[in-house]
Amino acid sequence: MPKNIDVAKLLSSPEFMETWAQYPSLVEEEAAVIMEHLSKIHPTVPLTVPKARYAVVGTRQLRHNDVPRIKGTAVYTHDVAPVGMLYGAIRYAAQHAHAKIKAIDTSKAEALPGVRAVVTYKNVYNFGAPKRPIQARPPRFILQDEIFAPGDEVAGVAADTQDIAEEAVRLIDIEWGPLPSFFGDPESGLSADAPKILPDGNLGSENIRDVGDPAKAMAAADIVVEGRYSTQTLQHGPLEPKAVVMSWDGDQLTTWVSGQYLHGARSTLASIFGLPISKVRTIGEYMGGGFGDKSSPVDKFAYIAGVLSKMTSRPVRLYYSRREEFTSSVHKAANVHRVKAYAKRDGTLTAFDLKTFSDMGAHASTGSAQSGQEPFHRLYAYQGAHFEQRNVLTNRYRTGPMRDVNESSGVFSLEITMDRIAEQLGIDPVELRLKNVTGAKNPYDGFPLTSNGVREAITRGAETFGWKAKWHKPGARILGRKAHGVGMGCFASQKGSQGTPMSGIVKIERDGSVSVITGAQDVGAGQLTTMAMIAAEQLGSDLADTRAYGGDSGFTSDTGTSSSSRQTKSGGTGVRMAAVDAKEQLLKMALALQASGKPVFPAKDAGELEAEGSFVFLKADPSKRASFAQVMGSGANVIIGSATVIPPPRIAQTTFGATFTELEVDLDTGEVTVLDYVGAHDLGKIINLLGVEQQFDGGLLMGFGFALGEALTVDPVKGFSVNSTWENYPMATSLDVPLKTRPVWVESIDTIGPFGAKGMGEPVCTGPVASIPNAIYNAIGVRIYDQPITRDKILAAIAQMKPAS
Amino acid sequence: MSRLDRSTRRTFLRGAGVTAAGAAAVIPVQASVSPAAPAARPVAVRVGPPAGAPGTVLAQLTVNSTLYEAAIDPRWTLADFLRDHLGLTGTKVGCDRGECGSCTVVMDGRPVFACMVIAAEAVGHKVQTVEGLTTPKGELNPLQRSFFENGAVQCGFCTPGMLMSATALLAAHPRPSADEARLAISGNLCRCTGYTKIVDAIVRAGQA
Repeated sequence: MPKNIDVAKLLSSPEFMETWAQYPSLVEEEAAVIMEHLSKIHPTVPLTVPKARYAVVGTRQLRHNDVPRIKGTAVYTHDVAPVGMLYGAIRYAAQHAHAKIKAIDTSKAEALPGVRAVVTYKNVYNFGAPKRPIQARPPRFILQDEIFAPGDEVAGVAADTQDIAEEAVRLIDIEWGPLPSFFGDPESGLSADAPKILPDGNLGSENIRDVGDPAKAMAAADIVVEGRYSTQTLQHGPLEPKAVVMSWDGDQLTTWVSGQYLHGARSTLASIFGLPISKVRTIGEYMGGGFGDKSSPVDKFAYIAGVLSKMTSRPVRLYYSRREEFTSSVHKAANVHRVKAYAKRDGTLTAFDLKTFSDMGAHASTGSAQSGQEPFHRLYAYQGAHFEQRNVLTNRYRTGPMRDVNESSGVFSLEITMDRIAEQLGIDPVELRLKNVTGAKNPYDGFPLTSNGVREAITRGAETFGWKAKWHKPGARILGRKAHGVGMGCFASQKGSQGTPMSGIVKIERDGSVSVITGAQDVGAGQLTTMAMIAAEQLGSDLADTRAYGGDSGFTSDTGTSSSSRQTKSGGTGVRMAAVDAKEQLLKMALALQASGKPVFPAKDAGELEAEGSFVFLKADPSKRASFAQVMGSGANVIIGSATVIPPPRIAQTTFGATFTELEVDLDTGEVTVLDYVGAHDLGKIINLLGVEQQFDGGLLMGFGFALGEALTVDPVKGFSVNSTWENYPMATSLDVPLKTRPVWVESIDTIGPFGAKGMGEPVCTGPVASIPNAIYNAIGVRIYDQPITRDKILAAIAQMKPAS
Repeated sequence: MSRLDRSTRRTFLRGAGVTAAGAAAVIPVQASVSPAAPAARPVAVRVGPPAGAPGTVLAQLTVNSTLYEAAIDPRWTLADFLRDHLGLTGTKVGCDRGECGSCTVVMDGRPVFACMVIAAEAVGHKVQTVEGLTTPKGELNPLQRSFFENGAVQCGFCTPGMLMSATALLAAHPRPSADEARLAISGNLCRCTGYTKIVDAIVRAGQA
């Protein structure tokens, strides 16, 4: 039963107007833009009506589905083994960065006892998958005779055991014809003498845009601060590698997959194998982390498993090795940013001139989002700007989304730039930020920001950190062989992305307990607990009797991917509106409830009733009440509330924040010790306090890795990965946790998030990048423009330090 | 990359041309089999391929207080054996090369990476996995409860390994400090939690 929302009524309701009236600097034209967008769609996005008191929202709730995880009984994809299952393995290009297959001989592999099927580009399209490219530039198919990166797939094998499958892929003989390859930095990939990956060069795509009148805005400035900044290739490092089990029953495909978006996997598989969506079922209740790695949970390896399963008429399981995870999965792209920032003497920014070059690898799944330009677009106000974004093809790793979608690279270049402006003009970095942060509108496209708590994040963060007392001139506090530094920075990122479907189902069972059915994938961040809390708050049910279920696209509804910190908004809005629907039905039923032949509630309209703690009560006289169980016992077997909400196209949430770092640099070893870190996060409204604490702890450690250590490296001669194991890729251990980290929660009450909530998972890992580079500069007085800021770079910088004066 | 350069314990053994007979020569499987049967359970539970299956050796080992008898392929790691032949999939494999600790089990009181122990090496030893932690009634033990109540779990993939490292720590040091807890799990990688709440959970389990 679709939930129909009366747009006109909603827009004219006093509650709606009140919400927007609270919004400090919303001007009339901006409100008109929203109205226009909202009125075009039906049903529309429900706007936040803040409540004075919450029963569930904002409390700290344990996560019921942790129990199977702790007992070891939770089933992850690698634990699934249907009867008759075969084991798969994949052969990769490995020795070549760009080459054509001249000849391929699979006869030895096929002859190995226990091998059931071998698939290459020659036979892959004989089993139902239509031959069309997965990506256009460069052309990318399930299997093809040209590879563009060492991690590209060449062949697949299904066999009786994992050992046989792995043995068989080794027995495939390939004769390669090497082609020109390029794996240098993305900016040099566009130079005339760079080897050309495609006949027309290495430019994947470009986007050039002026905002306002850039020339005039630049002319209005007194100073310009210019720099070249670079950031590294990163890997997600979920503890669980990618995994998939494919099983065909006639034309029905059942897939177990470790993925952040089961409904996306479902529709992609349907499209690849030419099936209606209804004949594909994707299952994955538990998954071992994603961080973007599994936001496109099905890709070539899954299609190959699907074809192998079809060839053998048996289920086939493929489980990435850690090395495959490092080399063949997607990665966060390395970026080069050339920044010119223009400001007046009083610190007011007037213009940006930003040119970005993103290393898209041979295949990119996110396109322009990898450039890291977004913080420039929306964090600070400016009169005009010139943005150039170039996505450059290289024969390195495949790139795709990773936690914060590379906003960290933009925050790195932008916040060092801001620190330099502050220094040049002799302004406190905190004051400079406060002077320039945006308000209600995104300066890039003129659209309203759904809420903006950056100002409060800066001031409260600075206060908590003790900024005024701690801040000093660069290189000014050296005690013995330790240089003390403090730094701050801000960030902004678009979250809860636009265009995502928002849907959900809320059932009230015959005993009055509540089941929430959601497509919101629980990637480990506690999404199911969040959904249960949102439903319980909206419906007025007792959270102890409210439970959320997901992890199966056959029984849930599409509510977008658990990526870009959007599930609280998209899944949460769907569940919240489904709870509105369920509650309407429940209260109507309660109105008719009788006891001893008399109505329980002396009311004419369901609007006179309210619910909380799984009781329905009369607003005018709360002593008149009935439990959900009593109401349901009056005849209904089950109430099914549902909702589908189509979000307005141009309104996206933006999360903001400010971080502050105090650290010490050892002048002999270059080691950095973080002494204190304060992260002030504008998260709209907290739903589960435990959830935001968990995101803060885990995300910031990942962010420390971005800033100080992690980078995937390829050898400069052949383009092979040189550190694709955890031995060599320095992911933080328990011994690397900073001594003191403190969150500051800023609740800006978002206008479209459920109960005012915004996404939280990603910005926490952007935070450290905002302040650590500036704190290191403040310690040693020498800038480092290349992330990660590793000890070798710090030692080189220390060598340039001026003697203390 | 291709498994060509994927060096794991298994591929190392295969590359070295080790056969069942060869392994028996390297690892004294036969010598440790018969005397290992504990008196508590005189009859071993039979699992795995039929006895005498090509390339296997018959062996007995104790997992979660149960004695098992199995025809073991000398190339199997302990993780393979636990997952594929005992169905104990709580032991997770995150790297298969001793880097992440997801497969940590406790062997004779010490935490070991089950991916770095050949199943035949565990013959005659007592192995405890995450499935062996719950109380006889199947409820969470105090350490597990502490993980639950302190929010020490996110995706849960590293959790079994963390629990087993912590189990070994608590057996040796019932009231560990935060530093001791941090050190005990330093071989267990986690990408979700930032370790903070895991350390809290271990320390609080010791205080309980």
